[in-house]
Amino acid sequence: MRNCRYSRRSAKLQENINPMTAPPSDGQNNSTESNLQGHNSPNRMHFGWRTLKPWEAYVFALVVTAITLVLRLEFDDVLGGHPTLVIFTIPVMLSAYAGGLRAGLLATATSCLASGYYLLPPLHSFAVALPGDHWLQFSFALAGVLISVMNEALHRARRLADQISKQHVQAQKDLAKVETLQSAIFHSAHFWIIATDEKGVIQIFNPVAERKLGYAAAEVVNKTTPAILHERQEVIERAAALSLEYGVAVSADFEALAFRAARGIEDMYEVTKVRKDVGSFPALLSITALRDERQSIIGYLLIGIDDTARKQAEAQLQQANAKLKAWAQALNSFAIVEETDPQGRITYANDPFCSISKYSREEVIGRDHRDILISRTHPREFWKKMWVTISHGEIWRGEIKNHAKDGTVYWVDTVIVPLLGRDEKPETYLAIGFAITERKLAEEEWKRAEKEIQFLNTALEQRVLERTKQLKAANGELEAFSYSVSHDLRAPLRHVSGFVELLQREAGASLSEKSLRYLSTISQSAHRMGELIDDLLTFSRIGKSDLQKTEVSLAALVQDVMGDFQSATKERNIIWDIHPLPHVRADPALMRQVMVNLMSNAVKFTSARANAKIEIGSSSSPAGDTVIFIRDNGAGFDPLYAGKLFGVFQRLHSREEFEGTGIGLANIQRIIHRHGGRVWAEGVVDGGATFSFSIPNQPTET
Amino acid sequence: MNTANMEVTHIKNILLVEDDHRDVELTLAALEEQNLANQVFVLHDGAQALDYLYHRGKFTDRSGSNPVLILLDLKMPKVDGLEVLKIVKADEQLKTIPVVMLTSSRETPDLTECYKHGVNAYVVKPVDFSNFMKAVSQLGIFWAAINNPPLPAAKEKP
Repeated sequence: MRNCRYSRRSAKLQENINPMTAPPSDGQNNSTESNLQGHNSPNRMHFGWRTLKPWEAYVFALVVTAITLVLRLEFDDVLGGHPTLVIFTIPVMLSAYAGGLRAGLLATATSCLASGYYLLPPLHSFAVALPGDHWLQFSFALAGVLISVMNEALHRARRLADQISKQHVQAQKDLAKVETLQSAIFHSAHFWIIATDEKGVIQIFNPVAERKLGYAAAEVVNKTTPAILHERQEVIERAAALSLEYGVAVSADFEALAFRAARGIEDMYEVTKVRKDVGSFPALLSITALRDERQSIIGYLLIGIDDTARKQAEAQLQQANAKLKAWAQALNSFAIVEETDPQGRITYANDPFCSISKYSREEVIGRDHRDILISRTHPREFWKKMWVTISHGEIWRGEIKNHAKDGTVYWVDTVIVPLLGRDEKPETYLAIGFAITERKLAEEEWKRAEKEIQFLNTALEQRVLERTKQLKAANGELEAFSYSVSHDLRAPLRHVSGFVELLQREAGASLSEKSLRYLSTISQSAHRMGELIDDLLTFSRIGKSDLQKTEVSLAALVQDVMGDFQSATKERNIIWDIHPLPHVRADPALMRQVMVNLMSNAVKFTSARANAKIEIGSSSSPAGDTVIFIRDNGAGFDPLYAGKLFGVFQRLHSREEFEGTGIGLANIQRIIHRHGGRVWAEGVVDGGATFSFSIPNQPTET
Repeated sequence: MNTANMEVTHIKNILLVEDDHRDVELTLAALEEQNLANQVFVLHDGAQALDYLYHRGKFTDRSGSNPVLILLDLKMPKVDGLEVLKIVKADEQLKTIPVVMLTSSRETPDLTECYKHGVNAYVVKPVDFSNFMKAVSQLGIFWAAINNPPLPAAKEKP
């Protein structure tokens, strides 16, 4: 019900309060103002016509007296000469009523004069002859004075009443204003307001309180204290805390809430408010004691606000802070962090900063980073660019070379983040960096090494050029040498051989057996010398000529070479086991020489076998090269000397055993090496031998 | 035809140009086997050979026709065999004369060079005398082929 009353009144009061806060240009406000006047006008009417001004009252007195005199004279005959002064009390009364004391006195005086002149003998003279008339006139004047005095009193009373009435109107206006303010506060959208009497029993419970706390005003007003709106436990704890603080027993009810307020202490605290229906929420509460003019407590005022949003924000802030703290911790554990003011003076430096710079925190705080740490290696433009960037509020990144306290150099890959203030200008520069000294030193080392390599390369190129020149010269000489060998060395041999032959023909019949054997030996030696020279020339030729690479079918090549051996081996029993063979990319003539050599070796070294077996096949090396092998069951060789097989003129068997110059395998090795391949041999004495060579599928020129 | 043959056989119509006397002796010994030695005219360097072919110097007054075969050693003092070959094969008059190179060298460039300049045969002088004999006997056959059978020009005559 109370609530309804406030609601109804609030509309009206709201209207009345508006002119105070809003400009009066608004049409509605104007009408409200006239309404205010209308409301007061009946009060004025209640006091009758306005008091006359003094001159109006005097004129009124004279006029009324004059009229009375005229009417008296008119009725003179009827009255039979009787003065009847009493009639003049009428104008006196009227004048006094209308004009107060002075108007009454004026009417009295005028009436006395007029009656003396016109009514009392002698007539038409102000003199009064009869002693009875003197008395009459005197008593009339006395009555007039009395009437005037009394009316004056009435006038004063009326003015007072008027004044009081005016004050009353003003008081009402003031009251309305206060009520409007109270109502506005009462209906505040944010604060709940609970007023109690001095015992704590709720008297006022505003709509916000109803909405926020879930109780209807009617449920609590005059029925309970605000203690039911608090967590019980909180109230108990508060009572305990207050008991401890003040050393008096504090009961865990409304007393605990109002304890401080009752002692005149402004009390504001955070509580958990309990709703009637469900749950509770954090609130901020202020409690004040209400006192009368004698300072005795007449009640308490509790103003509260829902603190949920603020608490949430606080919690979020705390969470964000915790997160930031974790980040900062993580960052601090391995990054070099530093803060400077806008002038570049260090305001913060973390542990990694101190440990790498070898300065203590106290030594760097307040100093300019550039003065203590930075070496002069960076050009002026480098710094200028950095400052332009960060002073414009943009992030800068770069690699900075610093000098530690002990003079050692360290590099930091640095990001500088300007933290802007309210004026959008950098307030703090946050520099986060990572030590990259090792990388930088490695880079420098690398650059130095590169230069050195470049230098060495140039020198090497020069040397290569020189060597090439020398080699070319040497090659030329060698060529000339082998040419000369082929011509000039062979000629004497030919002569030895030729003339021995001629001698045999010429004198053969007359020579002894022994002499003929000598001649034969000379001839054979010359022949062998010729072979050696031929093989040596071949060997040197292999090194000189360019490779003419094409696809070579090894299968066809092997068949072809076998054909060459046909006549030489038809007396022997040789089993040829030829596996499928691939194509290789090689010089056909040289490849033929290789196969001829290897196959003739196999034929040669199996000559002592009744059943010779020669196997030719292929496989693939781990590197993907083609591998060809020729396996025989011949004399084999001692693996101990396998390395010597491929040397020029290296022989593992005597010439008596197996003929040959000992240059064939050297030739093979030279040819295979020129093709980028490898040649090797496996064998045991009398257990046969396997010769293998590889040819790259991705040929490399050597 | 016969008359012409007689005339040819009377003059020494094989020219051997060889600086090494021993090689000359061996070659002649081999040719003797083929009964050709007495037809060989021996010169010792390229310059002499050119003088002979062009009737110059001491051969200014040389009578008779050109040889039917030239055996030419490759390596010789003054003017070597290759130069002689070049000149002979570049000469309209001489280029029909078969030229056989007799050489110790098996060097491929020499061989290629000789064939490039139109050599008719190339014989590597073997160290082995029996092989040498074989090679020279081949030359004999070669000579016989040129000497006896109808030459393309002779064929046209009748």
